[in-house]
Amino acid sequence: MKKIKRAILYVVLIFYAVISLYPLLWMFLYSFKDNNEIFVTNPFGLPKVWRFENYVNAFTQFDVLTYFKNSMIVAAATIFLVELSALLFCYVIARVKNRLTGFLHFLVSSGMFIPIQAVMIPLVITVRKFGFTNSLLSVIVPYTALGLPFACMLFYGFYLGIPVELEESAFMDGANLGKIYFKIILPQMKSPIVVLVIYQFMSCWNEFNLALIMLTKNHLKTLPLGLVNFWTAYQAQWGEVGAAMIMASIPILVIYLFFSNQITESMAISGMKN
Amino acid sequence: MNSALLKKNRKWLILFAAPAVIIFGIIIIIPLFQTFYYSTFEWNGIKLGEFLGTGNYRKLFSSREINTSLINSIVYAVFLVIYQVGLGTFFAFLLTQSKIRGAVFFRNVYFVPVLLSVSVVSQLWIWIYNGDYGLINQLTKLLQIDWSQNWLNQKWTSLLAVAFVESWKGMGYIMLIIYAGVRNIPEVYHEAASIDGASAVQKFFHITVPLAAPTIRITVVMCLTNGFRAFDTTYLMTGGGPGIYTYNLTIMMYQAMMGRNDYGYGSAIAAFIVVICVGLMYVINTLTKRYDKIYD
Repeated sequence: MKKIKRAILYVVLIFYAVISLYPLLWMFLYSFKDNNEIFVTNPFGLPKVWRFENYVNAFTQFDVLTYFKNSMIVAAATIFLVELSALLFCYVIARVKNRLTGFLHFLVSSGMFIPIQAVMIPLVITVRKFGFTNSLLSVIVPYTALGLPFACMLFYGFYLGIPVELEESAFMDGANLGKIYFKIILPQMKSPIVVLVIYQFMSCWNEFNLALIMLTKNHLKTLPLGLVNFWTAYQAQWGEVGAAMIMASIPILVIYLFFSNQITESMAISGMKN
Repeated sequence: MNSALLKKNRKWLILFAAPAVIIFGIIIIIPLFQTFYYSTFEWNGIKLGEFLGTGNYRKLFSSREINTSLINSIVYAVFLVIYQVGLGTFFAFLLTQSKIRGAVFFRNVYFVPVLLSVSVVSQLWIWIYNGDYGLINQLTKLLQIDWSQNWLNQKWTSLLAVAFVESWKGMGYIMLIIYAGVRNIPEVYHEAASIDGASAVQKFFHITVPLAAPTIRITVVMCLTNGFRAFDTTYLMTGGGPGIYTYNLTIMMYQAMMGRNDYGYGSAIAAFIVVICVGLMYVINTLTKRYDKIYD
């Protein structure tokens, strides 16, 4: 009886693993097929001929490198700005306790619950007014602001765990706060910094809504937007579109293959902090 | 920190706090107030027009799409909760059982869809649902069940199909959060219960479930608010169609902005979304407050 129960549990677990992965496998396989094979002769099996030309076509017609580069710039710049501004800001609110810092802490934390739509229209108008429409800054700066609430919750707890005595003795030796922070405090923040890098990367790599409204010029589009361009233009060629989608997904899947435990653990922390 | 040190380093502290405060103020706080302010005006995005008071809101609540949009958002949000929190809790509890082998493997596999870009997922599922050659219809043909249909082109199936895709993509994340919540329950509780002679089932219902409840509540709030502010998947898969069958508030807002340049009306919709999301959170927190007290 116990054995049967366990067997059923494993069947359920495997069944959902198939639901999670099979659509991807199906996409991977059809990215090597032509329409005739996908639609009629061989929708499920391995490709009869591995048509690598789908990838060549997709690569030449779809500006994957530009979109990829844009996404990388946006992610890297956002991560850097959120880390820097949140680390410094949180240090102040964790160490200085007065009404002003308490208010700022509350203000930034409550940003967690604000949906992106709440600020979208004024942002678009502001960005247009200041002529940022031709720049990736039009998404980098908003992503930075939207990333602050979570970053602050994450760092705040860690700062409280670092004993103040360390800094105070350094003060006695006559060092200034800037020096002390970067020499003594910052090195102890390694683990939350890594957690934030992963979380921030995931959230801006996949962000779609704001990018759709801000980035209208083709040469500025990020990967999710570029893909949409490609699949609306090549709607009839499943193989090529599949190839483009596989190319767009491979970098993050490869990263995940090597760092899956770090990534899942960081993301779990992000949920706990909510 | 003692106050002499603070005074001495005042400049540094201001310098440290300033960038975040400035960015947050300009990007979040000011625009948030602007949204509510502009929602009372006729506004084409360039020149602020006539003051309308509650005019834009009245327009919203008497619009042709509002009923469908609200019902759709509710169905969508509830679907997300049932699928993501339901399955997420089930798998999280299952995978934290010490008897299950390969728990980390399954956890990591379930997380894979979370990694994918929303545009990859949407296009992939548009073709899975495709009426002629889609994976589902091909499978049903293979199994000789006459079940083929044009999933994204009918009234209810289109909404549920889109909700399913969003749930499929995000379940791994919700599960992960609950999984971490269950794992964080200190082992001593279980040990103490074992000493008192509690069975596995008793321990599960009297220790694991109640102590994981706050985490589950967080995920419920996340799913519900996500349901009301969801845009990407619907926009990409159906664009609100067929007709207005998959319309929701965010699609209405997008139409008001990009389709009609009616930014005042768009702001009113945005303000309404904020009120719903904050209100939902408040209601759920109030309703479940008594549980906090018991286990704090």
